[in-house]
Amino acid sequence: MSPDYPLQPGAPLPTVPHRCDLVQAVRLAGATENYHRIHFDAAHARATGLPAAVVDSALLMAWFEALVEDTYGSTARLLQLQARFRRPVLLDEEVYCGGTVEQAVGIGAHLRLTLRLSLRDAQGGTRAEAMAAIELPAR
Amino acid sequence: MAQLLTYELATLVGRTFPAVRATITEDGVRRYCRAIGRRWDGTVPWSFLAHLGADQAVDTGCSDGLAGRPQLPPLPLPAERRILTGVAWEFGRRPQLGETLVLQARLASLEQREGRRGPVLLSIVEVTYTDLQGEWVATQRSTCVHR
Repeated sequence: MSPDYPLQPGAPLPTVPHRCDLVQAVRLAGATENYHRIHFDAAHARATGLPAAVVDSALLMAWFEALVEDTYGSTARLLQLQARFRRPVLLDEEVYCGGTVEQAVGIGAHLRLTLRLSLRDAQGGTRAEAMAAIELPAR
Repeated sequence: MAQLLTYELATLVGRTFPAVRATITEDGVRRYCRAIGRRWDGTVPWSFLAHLGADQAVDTGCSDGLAGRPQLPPLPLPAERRILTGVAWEFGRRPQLGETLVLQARLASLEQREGRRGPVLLSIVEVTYTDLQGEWVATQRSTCVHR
């Protein structure tokens, strides 16, 4: 029986669209106690040289985590997640979170996967890149 | 090139700062899950740890509302603007609701580089999360550019 999630190197993970609006940005600021105004105050963001308010990178990390957990389920154990933020994601901008399996290594009763993840805009430009390492029970 | 990395700052590299204790509350996790658009399934998202103890953060005094870090006293950096450019997490066991964790920060490195608009400081702060028995839970390394 073939697994219902990607295991082989090169296999893609689902691509998930995301868009953070002002309400979510304010809600996140409250929940995380991060009131940095560039995340919800467009005028302030423009005054600092940004084109608009930008999505808190904490939310980008949450999107990467959600992609891995939704793809592999609760039996997968997340070991590492690292990201580099290349260009800011603007409020109300749609971006796409996806990735591929880079490496699969069997270790005893477990399978360890290295995943290459990215967050891209509608033109395919990279906003953030990430690497995740997870461990799954071997089938 | 202007010298941003002073002797005083350089002496902070490698230093650990007083640990902070913070408890993972159900209310806090539920609010966080709602904020990130996730249905709460009773577990603690790993990304929640990045904000654990944020209510204890010292006011940075920055005019733009930039939050401080609960684990780290405001550093005497010669710039107001800080941009997070990268984060690396290593995870041990998943923390539980109601659990109190100890957050220990260390300024892992600080270096000066020439940016497009002049000199910048690049900092790496490492935060280690352990439980009250000393068992390791997670480590976060954040890279920031200060200009």
